Amino acid sequence: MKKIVIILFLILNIHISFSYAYEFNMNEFVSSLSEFENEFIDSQEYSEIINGIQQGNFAFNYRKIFNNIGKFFSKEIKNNIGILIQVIIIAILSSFLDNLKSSFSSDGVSKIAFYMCYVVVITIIISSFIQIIDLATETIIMLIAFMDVFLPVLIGLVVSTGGITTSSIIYPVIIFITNMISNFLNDFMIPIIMTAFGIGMVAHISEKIKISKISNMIKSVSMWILGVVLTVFVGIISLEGSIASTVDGITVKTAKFMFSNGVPVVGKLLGDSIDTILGSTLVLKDAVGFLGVFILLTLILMPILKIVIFLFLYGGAAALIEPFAESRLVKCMQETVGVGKVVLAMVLTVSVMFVIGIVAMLKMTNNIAMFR
Amino acid sequence: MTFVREWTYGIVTTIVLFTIVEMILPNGNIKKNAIFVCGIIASITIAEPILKLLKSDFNIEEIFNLTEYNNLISLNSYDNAISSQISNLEKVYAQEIVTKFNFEYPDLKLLNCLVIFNKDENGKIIDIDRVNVTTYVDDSTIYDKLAKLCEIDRKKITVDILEKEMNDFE
Repeated sequence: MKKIVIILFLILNIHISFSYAYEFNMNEFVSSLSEFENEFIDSQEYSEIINGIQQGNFAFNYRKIFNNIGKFFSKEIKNNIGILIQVIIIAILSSFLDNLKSSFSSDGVSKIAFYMCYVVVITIIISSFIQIIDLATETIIMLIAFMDVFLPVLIGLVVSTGGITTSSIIYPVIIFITNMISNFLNDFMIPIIMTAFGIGMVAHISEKIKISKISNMIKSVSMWILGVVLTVFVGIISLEGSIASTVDGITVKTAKFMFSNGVPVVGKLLGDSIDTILGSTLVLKDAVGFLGVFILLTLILMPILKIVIFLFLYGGAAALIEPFAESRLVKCMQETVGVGKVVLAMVLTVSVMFVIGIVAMLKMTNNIAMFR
Repeated sequence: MTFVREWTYGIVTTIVLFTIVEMILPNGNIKKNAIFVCGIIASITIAEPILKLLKSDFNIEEIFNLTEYNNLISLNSYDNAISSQISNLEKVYAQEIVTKFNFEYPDLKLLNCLVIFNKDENGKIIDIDRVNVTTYVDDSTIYDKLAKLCEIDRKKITVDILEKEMNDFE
């Protein structure tokens, strides 16, 4: 009697696992992800990628992505080179006015001329920095929307490979952490970065009263916070998953053993068929997970390129005007580049976190199949 | 984050103001002293959060809007989840009654059904409190049939009878 009850329980368990794999509809999944297509990947390529991986001949056209990156880079540089030229012209103007100091009646006039130039430079910097911040916020919101669409499908496939415990533990954790991160970044990190930027802009305006250390401190604090958040996320994901996947592996192995030895006549056949189904859903899950990581990477490519171009522009401007311009202008641009680095670090941290989350889930659930 | 914003505004305005002061003052001994005082005031502006921390009415909930988050969390609390689950169960049960009844007795067509459960203080369902159905057909046997279907006392059942003409009018 006890034996029969255990067998029934395991049949139910396995049935729950496999029922999702039967209902998995590739076209529906691909069309739900179609809103995340961008200039680097088309939604038509999604199913090609999945089918390619499942058949073992993944042949994605990487050259196209590199070409697009090159085109995008040159286009953005062309669009933004005007800002660089403006800044350089103003710097030249300000140092020219400084040289004319002796011909003015008082010292104050040349100072006022410098402050005018400084204010114009700050205005240009602020307008492009606000664009960068908006871009970073939109990217984070889009990444979280992507995770919200993608994770349920992946979790369903994880369940269908027998990872019932793994998915029930990992899914709430990942959903909680992604939403917490979006709140944390929007309510805490972005205001702090804006504070560091605002203080950094006025830090060098006066020759005597300088406050550059406070903005440096805020920048390093925000970098540390990002690092700690990333570490905690990776720690939680890997710990919880490694424990749960062991439990699942033992469950699946027990189920297979019970089928093979408990059911008379056809038991061996059933046990082997469980193996086959698990293996095939494993391949499907890996293909879908790979597609997710791939889309995630293409989603962050555009914003990261834009932020990198921003950093290049202002870093280059600082380098170009340093020989002749007033050192305060150069330092102001250095501050901008420093804060831009924090924005870049923020976007990279979020995307790395999500990539690690997906990949960790894929690798951990492979442990289930390792219990043979 | 209004606190952080105000702090930033304070620092930025102070520095800009002192830059103007520094520009306006004539060169001389008094300028050195004035700039020294300005520097001290600027450092006090930077240290404003620490000074607020020392005050007794410092409240961390105001800075991070913790009350808002607490409200959000309590909205999704366990009790709410339980009560919404019970109301969902009631709806499903009512739907089931309508479907089964209409299948078994097609001539007595039920239109709508409302089920209310008895709950204890922990939110656990004890039994059915009452069942209210809406129909067009004025038939007294409907009580017995419903009582048999739901396996409850017929006193717990109430029937609302709608006028048939109203339906045609609609």
